Amino acid sequence: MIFKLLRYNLRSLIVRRGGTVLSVLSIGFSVGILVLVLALARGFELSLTRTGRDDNLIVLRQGATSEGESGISRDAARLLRSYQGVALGRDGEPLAAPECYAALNLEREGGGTANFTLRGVSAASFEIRDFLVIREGRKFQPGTREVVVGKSLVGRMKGSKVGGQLELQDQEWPVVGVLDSQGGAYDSEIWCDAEVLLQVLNRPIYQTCILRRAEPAPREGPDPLIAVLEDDQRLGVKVQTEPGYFASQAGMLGDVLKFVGYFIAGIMATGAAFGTAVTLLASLAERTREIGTLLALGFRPRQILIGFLFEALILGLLGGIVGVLLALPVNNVATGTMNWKTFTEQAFAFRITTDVVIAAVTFSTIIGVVSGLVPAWKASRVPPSVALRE
Amino acid sequence: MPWRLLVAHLRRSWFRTALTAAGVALAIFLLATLRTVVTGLQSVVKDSNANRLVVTSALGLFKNQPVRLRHELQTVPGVRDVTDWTWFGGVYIDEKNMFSRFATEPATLRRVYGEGPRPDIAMPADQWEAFEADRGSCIVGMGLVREFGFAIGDKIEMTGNIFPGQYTFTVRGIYLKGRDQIDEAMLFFQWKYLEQSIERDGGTSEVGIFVLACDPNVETGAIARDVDLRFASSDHATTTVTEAAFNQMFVSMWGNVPLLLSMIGGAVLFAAFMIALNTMLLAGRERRLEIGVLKALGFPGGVVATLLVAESVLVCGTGGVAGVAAAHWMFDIRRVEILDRMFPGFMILPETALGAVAIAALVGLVSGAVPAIVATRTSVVSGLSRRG
Amino acid sequence: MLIEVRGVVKSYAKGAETVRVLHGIDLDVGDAEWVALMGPSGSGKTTLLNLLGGLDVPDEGSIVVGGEDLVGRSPAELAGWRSRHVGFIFQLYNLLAVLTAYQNVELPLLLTPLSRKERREHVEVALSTVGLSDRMDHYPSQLSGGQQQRVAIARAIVTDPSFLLADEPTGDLDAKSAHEILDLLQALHEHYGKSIVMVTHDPAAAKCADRLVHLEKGFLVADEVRS
Repeated sequence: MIFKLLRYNLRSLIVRRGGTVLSVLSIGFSVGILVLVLALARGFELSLTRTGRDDNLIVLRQGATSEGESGISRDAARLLRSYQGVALGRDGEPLAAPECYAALNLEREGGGTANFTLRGVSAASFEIRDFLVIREGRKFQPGTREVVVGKSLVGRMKGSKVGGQLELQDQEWPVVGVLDSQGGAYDSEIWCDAEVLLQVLNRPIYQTCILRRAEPAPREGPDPLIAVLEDDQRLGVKVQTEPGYFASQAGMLGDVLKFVGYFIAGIMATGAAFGTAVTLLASLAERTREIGTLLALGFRPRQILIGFLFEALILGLLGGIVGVLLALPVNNVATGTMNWKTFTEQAFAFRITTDVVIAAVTFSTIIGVVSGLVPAWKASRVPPSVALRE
Repeated sequence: MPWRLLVAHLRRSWFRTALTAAGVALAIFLLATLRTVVTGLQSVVKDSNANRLVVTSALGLFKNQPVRLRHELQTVPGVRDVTDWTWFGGVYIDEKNMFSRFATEPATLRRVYGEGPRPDIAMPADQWEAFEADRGSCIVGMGLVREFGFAIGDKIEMTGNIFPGQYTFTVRGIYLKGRDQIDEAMLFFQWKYLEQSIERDGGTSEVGIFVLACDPNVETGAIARDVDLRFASSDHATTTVTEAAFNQMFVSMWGNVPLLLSMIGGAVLFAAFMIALNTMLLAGRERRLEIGVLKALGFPGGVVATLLVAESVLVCGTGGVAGVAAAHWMFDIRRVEILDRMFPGFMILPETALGAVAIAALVGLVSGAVPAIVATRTSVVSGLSRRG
Repeated sequence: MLIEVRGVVKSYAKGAETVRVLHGIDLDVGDAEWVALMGPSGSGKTTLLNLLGGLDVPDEGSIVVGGEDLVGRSPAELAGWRSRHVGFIFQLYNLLAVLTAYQNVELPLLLTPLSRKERREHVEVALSTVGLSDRMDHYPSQLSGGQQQRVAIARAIVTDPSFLLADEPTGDLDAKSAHEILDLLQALHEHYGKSIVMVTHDPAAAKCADRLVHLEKGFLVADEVRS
């Protein structure tokens, strides 16, 4: 019996299609906003968290929360190279690469400037990060001022294409290649030779060291290699896995974006819920005689209430789908923002992932149901006698 | 003009009217807020001090500069005072407690920021002197007092990261901001204290950025060019820009925030329009018979149309005013601490408020016009006939 | 002659077809004459009523009222003419639910240049004529069917129109209320000399009229003066 009732409710939505369409659209636009901002947050997070291999370790100075705050001396770098537990490369040399990290103010394509990450790397850096490929052009020549740029920078930073030039300290640094780290943080970086960079910046020490471990970490329990490294007084370092480090750099920005998304969409959706409630209340006013008839036929008030909630739920659900469809065009559109932790430009793309869609549709369905609470309650209070009156 | 009809309708369906107005109010609240973020970012730039220049390394914000430049910059014609700010970073108890910490030279900081009728960093003279006298001292802004309860004489402990080690500062002064755009939650301590630990680690004496207070009678552009030219061929080339340009750089680093906010604003506006249109179309449908009767009695179509439009404008306009009032209360009266720090100068401008109400009225106008046009077009007979 | 109808033809579109509802009607209505339009449903009597009231325009023919031809007038002109010359009485009363009885009766006067005080005088007279002075602040939902129809009649006469058009005025009422309404219309007809054109099925109502006009399938088939 209940299903026949639900069919009646569905039919009601279709017959009053003006109100249905407008309610769905107003919920849809609110959800669209949510999807937009969640996709922004997700894209930002993904660009960081998908960076690196679990068996690569990033070594920072104790107390540093990011590479920019860290310092690794040449002595420490040498010590790390000779550590037991560090894997050996193809040429038999240990896979430990000290690196220099700097944020430099460079011009954006289309005006304005931003801080871009410049990473001075050693030869081993490429082998340690073997998920990286040079998409176009070639690697830079060590000892020169040649650079390669991350693929996300092409079109965003002035001069970032093969054959282009970057201007640093009144000198030209030719761009000879484009690197692709499969969607990781390195796609927003500029790479050059570590020694050259140290000289230009007049720095006596590196910032970090990245190394590949010979044996994988144990599944459970503490990691002996990391423990040994961190306990070593000569080094005074803190160690994280490569993905773990970049995830920690996502910091607050991702959370803040998500909060902002829910905040804005929540407010907007409340407004949409009000509008939907108006639609349902008006629909109720037109249908009192129908409802009285249903009650006279033997349906119970509770079933009437469920029917109205069902209508509200459908409106919310449809609104969610419309919202996702409205926001879909931004999927994979490239954008960028400033990472608050590192103060550097982070290029990434909007990513409408499954969990974003699920969150949005759940959100809109809840909004729909909430909007239907008062109308459903009122509907259940209609007395059967109205069927006969007038 | 039967205005009583308008009043009677609003009273009759007051709940629906309230819901519609509330929906519009929420949308306008959002629009006003989004717009204020944009104007807030702009004001940071617009209201900068016109006689200050900021000197950074040509390589960017993160490259520190030799401390001896203090004296060299003082000799540039047109430069009255030179101070410097060095970003300290560090951790106070927890990484979550984020506020700006700078090492500086107290005496020069006072000369550049602390003097005049409305100084940017306003502090009583005895506190400035205490700050200058005690090498281990610091001053904090009122915002930090509100958040952490600091008082004069308190000891603040911090763990450095860029400059490793443990640091203890004694609070010797509490400053107030002289302009809305100044961050009232900063901590300044003596650069000499920092220098000690730099020398201990064998580093070079460097500071972050220099701020020059210039003679108002000299063109700042000329001074800036002078400075950069002087150091262009050394190994610490500089980039000198006005305070406005420096702030603009920070704003533009946010990326395409205006675009994102516009997209969101557009969606919000559209959703509000859907809500208002929904209610008005409903009203139009329900009143078909009534409209037919009015026309039969001889009321011209224009009267009916005007009543519908007026009702819609009134409801949406009221919602608009309510939304702006809510935004004003939330941002100008209650003042959210975190927002204050990120966006000092975050306040609802009069033109934002007026614009928001105007938009609400416009939404009302269009959503009332649709059923109004339908009503004028419908023949009297079809309005009256029950069979439709 | 108050109303002269000559050769009026009217068709309506019904889906894809056009249905001719009136086939060349000629009719005269004199001053202070009470005409009952009768006929089976679909005979076109309500359509003719709408045309007489300027609510719709004929496809062919002429309708001259008080010397003015309604055909060829714009909807705006017809609206103004209606407000001055016609009083409508509908089967379902058609009062505005959001207004009180007083306000409903006052409504047509808002189209005139009368002041509030003058309007009040007219409304009070109209309501006392129909015997509802004590209920002027009630809403339609608070009145019985008969009372609502009386308010509607008060509204119809408050502007002192040239004639009244009534569409099944007793159709929705019980016998007692219908009787009251017919007495009222009779009083208006005899004491105030109002012309009335009334569409009705009700034999009791037909008995009150001076003339019975029968329509069938859009043709005028009979026109008898009652003795």
